[in-house]
Amino acid sequence: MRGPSLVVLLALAGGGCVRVENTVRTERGPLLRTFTRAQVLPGAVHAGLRVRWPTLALEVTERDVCLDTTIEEYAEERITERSSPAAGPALSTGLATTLGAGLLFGLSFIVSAAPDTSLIDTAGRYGPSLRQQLQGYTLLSLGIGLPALAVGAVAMLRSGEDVEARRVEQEASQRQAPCNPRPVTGAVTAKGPTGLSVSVPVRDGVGELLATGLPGPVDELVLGDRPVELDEAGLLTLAAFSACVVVEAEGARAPESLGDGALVARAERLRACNQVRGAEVEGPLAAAEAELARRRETGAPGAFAPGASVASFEDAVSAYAPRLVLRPGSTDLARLDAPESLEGQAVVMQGVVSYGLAQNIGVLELGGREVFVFIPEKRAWGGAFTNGSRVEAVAVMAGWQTVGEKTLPLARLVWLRAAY
Amino acid sequence: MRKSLVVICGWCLAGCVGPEAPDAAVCRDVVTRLCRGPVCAPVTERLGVDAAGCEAALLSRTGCASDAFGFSTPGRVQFLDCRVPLLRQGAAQAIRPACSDVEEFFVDCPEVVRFFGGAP
Repeated sequence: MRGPSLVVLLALAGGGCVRVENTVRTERGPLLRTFTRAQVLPGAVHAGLRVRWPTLALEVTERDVCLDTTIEEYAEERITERSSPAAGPALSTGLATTLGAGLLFGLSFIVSAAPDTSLIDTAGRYGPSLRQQLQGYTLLSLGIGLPALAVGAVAMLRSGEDVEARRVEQEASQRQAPCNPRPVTGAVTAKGPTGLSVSVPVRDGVGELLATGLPGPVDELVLGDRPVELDEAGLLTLAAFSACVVVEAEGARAPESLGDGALVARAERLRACNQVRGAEVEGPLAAAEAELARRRETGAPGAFAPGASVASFEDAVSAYAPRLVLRPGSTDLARLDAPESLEGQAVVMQGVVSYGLAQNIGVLELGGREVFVFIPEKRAWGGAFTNGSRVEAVAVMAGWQTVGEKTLPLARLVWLRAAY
Repeated sequence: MRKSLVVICGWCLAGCVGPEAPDAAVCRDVVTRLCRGPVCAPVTERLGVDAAGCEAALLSRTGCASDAFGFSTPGRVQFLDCRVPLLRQGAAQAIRPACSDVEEFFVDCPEVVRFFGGAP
């Protein structure tokens, strides 16, 4: 009896583990309709700028973003298929075993009901009759068959297909544009790269920023914590206004007194400012441009024009008072790593002519480092310096220079002579 | 629910065993086992029977040849307990018990030896 009982238990336990698998698939149906859904989203703050020197006029507006989305609506069917691989085997096993049990039960009434007198057990009882045995097997068969039948039937009942019809939307296209412009009232803050922060009251969208007293340029406008957007023209206008503010703060400066870098920067500021102030800055701009042209031609700073006012190496040293000495073994050589920091400074160089690249430019080798030297067309010194010549020179540093594939520090020669 | 379970379990148990055997049948079962040849020595020595007439002699001594036989001393329960060693080789009557089990049967149950007309 122990073995068959175990089978019954296993059958019962196994029946509970039958799993029903779900498979979901979606089928897209026909297009039902197409419509447009309009949405209004919060937009940005925008400003139009106009300069009436010394005033920067602001027209500040706030706009929404109108979003039109074209939606296509489709019919869709979501089909859930449920199936159980165990349903068939469980059902067939259950049917066969249950039918077998019925057959055994029927047979039990045909066979003898007399007990087995050839056996008397330890309790003094005869062995079971054949009818009892068949009916016992009937119970065992039912113990296996009925749970299997139940499991199979439940699995079969759960198997099937559910179809859920629904409508789905798909975005076909989207178009957005600024809309609902309205003037802003509040305080716009003008900010600058130097930490400038000036509040500009704006009423009904109109405000004015005065250049007078502004400590520096402006590069950003903010309303509360929202940045004020500028279009391309607005950005250019703000840059021009800021350039005028700096030019105004610098005052009148003789271009001849400026170093190369400062002169270029001032000329750029004057060009930008000229776009909004026009004739008012044309004079200083023309002067700066002329000085730049002259330096391009002569290659020497106008404040210390070489040649006429410098007649010897000693004169050049006296006039330019160089504080750096660039020669093999010199600690100042390391400064050549950042020649932009030396721009405009006079130096003494001792080295070897490496090679001449063009009529007005050459290369000096200074203790393992190379420097381009710019040779002005009008120069007071004489002599020829072939490759390999040892020379010493007074020069003014002028940043980086690229010629061909070489980029080296550039020095404008004031005086050059043979040495050691 | 509980009633159904009891009925099912009862039916299952009823399928495993038959009705209670009468005292005469139990007595004859032991006689048959003791006298199944070759008869063990303890049987002939303790009960004083020869192998050929073992079964007839014991049935005659005990009176359990009659279906009206009933246990008195020893009682049915004690007799069944004493019979257990004789079933170790198998419950079927056709299986001869081991002689050591027969010896144990006589040693453990002197009342049964006396019942069969022997000397314990």
